[in-house]
Amino acid sequence: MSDIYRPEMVVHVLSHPDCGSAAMLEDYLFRLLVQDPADESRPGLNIPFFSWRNQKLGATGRPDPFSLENVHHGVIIALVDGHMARSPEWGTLIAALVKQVSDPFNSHHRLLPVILSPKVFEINPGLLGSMHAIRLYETKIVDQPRTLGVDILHELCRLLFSTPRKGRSHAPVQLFLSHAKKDGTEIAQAIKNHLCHRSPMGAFFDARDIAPGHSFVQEIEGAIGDANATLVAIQTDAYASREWCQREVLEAKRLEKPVVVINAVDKREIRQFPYLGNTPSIRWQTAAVVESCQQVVEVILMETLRTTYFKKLINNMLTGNTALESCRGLGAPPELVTLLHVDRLNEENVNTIVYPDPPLGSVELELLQKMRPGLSLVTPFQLGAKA
Amino acid sequence: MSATPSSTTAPLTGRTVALSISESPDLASLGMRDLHLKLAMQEMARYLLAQGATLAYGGDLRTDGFTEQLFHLVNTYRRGEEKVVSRVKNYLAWPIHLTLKPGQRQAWEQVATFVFLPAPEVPTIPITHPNAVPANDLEGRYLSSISLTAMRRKMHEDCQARILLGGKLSGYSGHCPGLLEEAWLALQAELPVYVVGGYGGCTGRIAKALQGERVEEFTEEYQLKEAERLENPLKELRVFYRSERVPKDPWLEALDYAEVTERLKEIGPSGLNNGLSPEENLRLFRSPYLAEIIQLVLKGLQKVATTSLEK
Repeated sequence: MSDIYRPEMVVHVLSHPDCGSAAMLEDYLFRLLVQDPADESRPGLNIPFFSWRNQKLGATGRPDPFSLENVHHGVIIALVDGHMARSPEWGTLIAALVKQVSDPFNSHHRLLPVILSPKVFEINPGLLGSMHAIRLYETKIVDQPRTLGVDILHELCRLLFSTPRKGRSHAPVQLFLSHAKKDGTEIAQAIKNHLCHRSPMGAFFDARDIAPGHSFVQEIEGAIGDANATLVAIQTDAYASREWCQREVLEAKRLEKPVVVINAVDKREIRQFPYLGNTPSIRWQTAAVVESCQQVVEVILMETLRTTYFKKLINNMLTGNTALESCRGLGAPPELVTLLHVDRLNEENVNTIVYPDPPLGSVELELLQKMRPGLSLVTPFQLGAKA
Repeated sequence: MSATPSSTTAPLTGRTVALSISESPDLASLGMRDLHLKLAMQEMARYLLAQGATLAYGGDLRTDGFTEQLFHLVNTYRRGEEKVVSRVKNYLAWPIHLTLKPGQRQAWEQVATFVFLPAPEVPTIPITHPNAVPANDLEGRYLSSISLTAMRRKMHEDCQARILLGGKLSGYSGHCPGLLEEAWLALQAELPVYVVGGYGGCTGRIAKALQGERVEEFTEEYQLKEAERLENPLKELRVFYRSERVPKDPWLEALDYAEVTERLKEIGPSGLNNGLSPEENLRLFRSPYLAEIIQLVLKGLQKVATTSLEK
């Protein structure tokens, strides 16, 4: 075990003690980024999360134990309301933070200011310098937690993608909408429109997006293989029988991309495609397209963040540690299909697969173990304790 | 799948770990909230269970959904035909188990095996009947207090390790902060102790004491002053401990703050015998990161488990 623990990402939420909506917003973010206490079936991202809502600023001008030392990616979410804008101490702190992360295109840390009231710009116009902020006051209060959640999830994904663009912010998430032409086009288009209007996320929509003269196969494989790509399988009645859809899903799994299934089966599938499992799925509601789109976006971002975050966590853990040379990390829990792809492990002398927490239950592990008896399947905590 | 202790996937099979994870007054100042504590309880339980350990809780009667979570966790990680209740034990001191509310009983019955401690037998302070709840007078409070101590000692006979996190520094039942007594008794029983200081509270102070720092809360003066402020009759209880009514018996004595802090200083991060190096213990004393905390605790427990097998 290395001497100093370096968390991949830590989130700090700053807000003024008198800020009225901070509690609600913070609770929502906690449930999103850490764990939802109401959802016992699946643990959350467990991203280290600290809330300084009730803290007075210490002698150092910041809540005392607040520190970005040894943290790969520090994310500071500042909920800026009138109280904070009026306070000289907070003003100083924000200015210091702006300076610390002032080179967002190269810095590993981000400051995400969230403006809760338009008055902030009147009270303290220079508070954030020229830093772009999330103008949450433009959203109705009742919708604010969800809107903020989606924005934050997306920003975290972008931070983790290792594709900085020269002089510009990190590339956004790119979605590959895998669908059957026969009955999936409507849903794919609805999602694409939703993204166009509300999000910097891009959607790859195959046929129309491939310029004539380019190879269909290469373009699709290229799009799925894109560093920021997530595959969205729009599972309609016809989906399972479409060879292209099958290829797209298996290619995404082969490349260990995040995959999300939109369950939109209307009547029946003769035979479900066996390889859509081991993914989050969300039911499409034809009677509530906007709500469905919102939910789909949330699930996609959660899954993308989860897979990306985890991959980084495990890579950091394995890198440079000779005791862990024969380990290979995965972004999602293994399934039988994974073990198939992981055949090349034999050549690489890999005897241990490390997959995201939480550990799989005994039933699944026994099945996987039957297929590859010599292969050890562990989670980072289980491994970290051994190393 | 093999369930032997040397199996790579369940190295803590057959080991029972005592867990003391309770509210800390310092959470807010550490950027944490109740949710962080709940998460720590849940995740600690998860990883211990996944590694094959049995969990032991002392006097835990919470009904805030933790037992349901625990049930689900045990269910996921139990092996073969094993019963859920064989993986969790709940020790209850006398007379607490006499007054279990139906809701509390129900909450824990599905998930844990209860261990009810018997009434204490102090010749000079007889009780009317083991099933009768003692009066809330000085004698009654004394008997309840030494029963807590007896429960903690019993846990240390049955368990192979103790994990401490958080803990009240005042307003406790008993004659001293519960987690301090647990640490003290565990160390005396030569049990590996894991001091998770990052959540503050009593455990945070234990971590400080282990590093030789002076801890104001671990003085009789401070405790009595606090008790007075909270209108808690602690003073007369502690006086009673030293009175003629109490037989001369080390196990019936009140915890001596000076003795305990001196001993903690001597033990230090290198004397905890918990499978962790001094540097790793220092990290455990300070880390606010649950992932790091759990990694360290599991590492220590596994090391101790392997070493004891080799003996």
